[in-house]
Amino acid sequence: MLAFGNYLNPNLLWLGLGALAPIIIHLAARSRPKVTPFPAVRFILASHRKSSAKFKLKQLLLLLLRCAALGLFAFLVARPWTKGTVADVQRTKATVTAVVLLDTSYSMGHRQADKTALQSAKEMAVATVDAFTEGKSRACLLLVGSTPRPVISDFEHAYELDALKKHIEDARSSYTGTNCTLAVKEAIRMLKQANGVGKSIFLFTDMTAQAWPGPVPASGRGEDITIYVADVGADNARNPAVLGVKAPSAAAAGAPFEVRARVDAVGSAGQQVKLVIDGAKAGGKTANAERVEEIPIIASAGGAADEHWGAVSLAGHDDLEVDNSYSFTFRSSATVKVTLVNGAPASVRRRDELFYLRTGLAPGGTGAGGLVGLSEIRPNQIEVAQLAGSDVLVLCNVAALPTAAWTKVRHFVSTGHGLIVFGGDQVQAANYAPLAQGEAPLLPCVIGQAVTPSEPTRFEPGQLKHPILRKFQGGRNGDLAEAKFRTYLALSRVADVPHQTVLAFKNDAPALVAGRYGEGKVLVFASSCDQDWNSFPQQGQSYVVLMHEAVRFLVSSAEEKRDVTVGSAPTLRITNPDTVRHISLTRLPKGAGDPAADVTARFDKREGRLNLAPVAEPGVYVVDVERTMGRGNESLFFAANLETAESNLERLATDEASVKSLLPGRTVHVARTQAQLLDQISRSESVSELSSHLAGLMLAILLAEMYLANHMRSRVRSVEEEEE
Amino acid sequence: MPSAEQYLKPEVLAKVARFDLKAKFLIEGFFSGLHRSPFKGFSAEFSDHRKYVPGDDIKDLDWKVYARTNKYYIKRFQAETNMECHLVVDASASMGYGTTGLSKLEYSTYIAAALAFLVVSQQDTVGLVTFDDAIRAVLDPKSKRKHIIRILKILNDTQPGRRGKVSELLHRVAGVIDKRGLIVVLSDLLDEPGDVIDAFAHLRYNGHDIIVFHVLDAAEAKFPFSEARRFEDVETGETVITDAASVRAGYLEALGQFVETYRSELYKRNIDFYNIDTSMSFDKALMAYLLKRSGR
Repeated sequence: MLAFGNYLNPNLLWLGLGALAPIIIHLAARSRPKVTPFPAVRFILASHRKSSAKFKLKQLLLLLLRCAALGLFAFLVARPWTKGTVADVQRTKATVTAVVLLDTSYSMGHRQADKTALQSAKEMAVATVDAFTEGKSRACLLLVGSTPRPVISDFEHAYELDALKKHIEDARSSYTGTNCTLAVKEAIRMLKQANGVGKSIFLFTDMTAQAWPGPVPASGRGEDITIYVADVGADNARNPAVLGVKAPSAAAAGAPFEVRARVDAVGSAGQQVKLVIDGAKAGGKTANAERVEEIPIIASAGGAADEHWGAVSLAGHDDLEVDNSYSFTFRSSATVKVTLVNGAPASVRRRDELFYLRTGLAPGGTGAGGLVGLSEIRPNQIEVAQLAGSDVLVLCNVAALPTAAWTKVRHFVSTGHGLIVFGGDQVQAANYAPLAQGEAPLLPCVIGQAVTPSEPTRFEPGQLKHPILRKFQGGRNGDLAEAKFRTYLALSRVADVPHQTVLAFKNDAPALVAGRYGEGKVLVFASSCDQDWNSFPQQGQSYVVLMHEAVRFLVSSAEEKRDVTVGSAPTLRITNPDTVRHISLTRLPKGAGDPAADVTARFDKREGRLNLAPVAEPGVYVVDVERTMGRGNESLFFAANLETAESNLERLATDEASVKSLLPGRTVHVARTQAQLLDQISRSESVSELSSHLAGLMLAILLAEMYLANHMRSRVRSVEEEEE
Repeated sequence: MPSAEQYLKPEVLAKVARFDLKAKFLIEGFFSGLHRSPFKGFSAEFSDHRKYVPGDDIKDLDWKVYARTNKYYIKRFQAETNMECHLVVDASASMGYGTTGLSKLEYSTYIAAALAFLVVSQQDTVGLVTFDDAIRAVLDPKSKRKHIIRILKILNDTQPGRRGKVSELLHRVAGVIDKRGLIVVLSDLLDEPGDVIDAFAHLRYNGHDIIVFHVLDAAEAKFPFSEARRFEDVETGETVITDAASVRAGYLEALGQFVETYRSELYKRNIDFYNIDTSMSFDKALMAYLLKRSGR
């Protein structure tokens, strides 16, 4: 039984008013008939009685035919369609207005038997398109990734089903994650804007759970979209993968550092996890976890300050190899240069303000080639000191600085360097107050007067989540709560200035406050860096670690995070932009990978930033910066990795009820095989345009009208001919 | 200037202003077309000879021929006794209808006038009766030229009158004309055919020879209308709104039956019936008269 009453162009139904035109014309043009005196009316009457009924019937029939022809024309251009099963309507083919969603995320590269899920999806998609009626069906194509990528997005040009099949066959893995929710929403949006019959979405996906961040909300009445979900995923698929690597963005040259690789499903049998630094094996470990596990591997960079890259990979093969490796980059530098400003020097070594800090940061002594290189100046030397050569500036118990000195410090920090302010008896709160005021305060808090509680207070370590405190997690590196603080500066927050209390005292007073200024970072420590106000230096290990981590925290602000996920666009800062002549981009290994691409045009000389295009493939990339003569070339690395959430092949329940819960309010069919899908298409409601039938009817009406009109006209013509 | 024969065409004759001239031109046109006709004349005019056969009247012998040839020939004459011809013209309202430039009445009066000339020229007497809803004019038959002028004047002055019932008027005419003669009726006969035929039977019963000219307008005969019209009866005022093209066939069929009824019924009563319309030349009517006259 065919339901009836839908139109592709319902707006054109108003043309149906045209059916009234013959009646209106008839009424408007109806004039009083010409009065003709005639002697033999008796004979007219005799004939009139016989023929008038027939004539009126013919005239009425002619009028109805004309009305019907015009009404039918409106009906025809409004393109009505009937609904029924495909078998009812088209026998073998379905007329649809469809959006084909083909999941090309990298999880679709999972191999099942002799083919990947993507290959299965493409075969099913092509077979599905073959089931569409050529010339009547229209189908767009979106490739499903983290965001849907349109291939055919305009329904006006979507009649070429062969072109659609070609696009499907040419589809390749995108190395991105999946967001089916977003893709279905986009498809629904496209279909809502399209006129057409049999609005359908065909989604070919492996139905991984992470691809559905949420259900697609029902959008109310009038949507009438049928969604076919072709599930090409494998149940209980195991996918060993390296999900991520934690590595420092900077490391001391030659010093060992820790790389923590997060691996998944490597299996209880044990699988070798290899670490490669700059292309050479740098370490390894055997992992044997069934679930996610973090594996620490100790590595070290070369002795020279340089750019480095590394990769953690799983040995052996599995059904989805693309996520078996994870790359990272880092820089090594020989020394972190710290300039200490001594606000309270003393001739007695142990009484000097810097005694403990100097010892803690550089146990081997200043300038001894350690990890931290120290230099010391007095407050009045700041204006003339070469701060540009330092990474961190430390103000230790400095009473005050002239305005020019503060201006220099502001510029130093804003250009990506670090500043630590330690308290002390010399510190004059009033001199620091302006630094916490204005539109862009240098300090993240207001430094107040010194406070000496009746009982010494201690640190309240709390959760130890801040990067400075992470090394104290698990009781490592001493107990921060042991140190006693007799006096400290009252630190109070500045309204509307973002800041972070890294550490607080037991009495809730802030002890260490962090903030940002320009591209640099600032730390304010409420107490002194020596023993004048506290016993912290006496704690030894915890003091040394905290000071080092504070310096590392400040230095990391200068280390830009270059590594990106595939699909995002990296931005690299290039120093001395005026000397840059040419920039090229290459994927490692050089020569075997893609040819070097000239990316000089993407360099913003004014900002000193190279804004690259989104990265399409995972790997390590090298940006070679060629400078003008005498300036020296340099190479910058960045790594592009997969969005490893996609590696989790855990699947959703694929029964129709479960899938319908993701697509509420819609007709949903789930198929696991090509035959199932085609069967569902043939059994599902489909539509057929009535245009061809109506065109035949309209032709018949027009022929009848022509015959009748001609018949009636021929009588007139014969009279006129006889008259002539 | 048109030739004499051209005057037989109604459209040509209509252009002649004077009514008497119309009649004369019509007659001249008629006779110029009859110069080889078999009509030899009437009254005492010589016709031809035939061999004498026993029983023939001796007085008809042509003695001059006998003297020359010594054979007996009978001299034949076409001489007839004076015939009274009555022209009966229907002047009812329907006769005023015309679409060719001449109304049926005008057409009929031209024929009547021409016949009057023709009759008088053959030494016969001619009278006139006109009627509409009543008898309007009656002129007794005479053969003098002055009488022709009176007939022409009456015909010229005759205008379509009121609705008349032809059958009734013909009965009255039968009462008016007492001496037997030839009655020429010019009418559209728009009445009940049965009644009209009874009236003709009445005239025939009185011993008259009758020629009926059933005069129709060309539009009546052919019904050349093709669109929706409101037809209004010129006599009864009855109206009908109809599509002319669709009723045409029925109309012509009904008219054909009407005419055929007259033709067949009058034929049975030995009455000559001629169906003419105003687009036809006049000679048909005049020829019909001569044929009738020659047959008497």
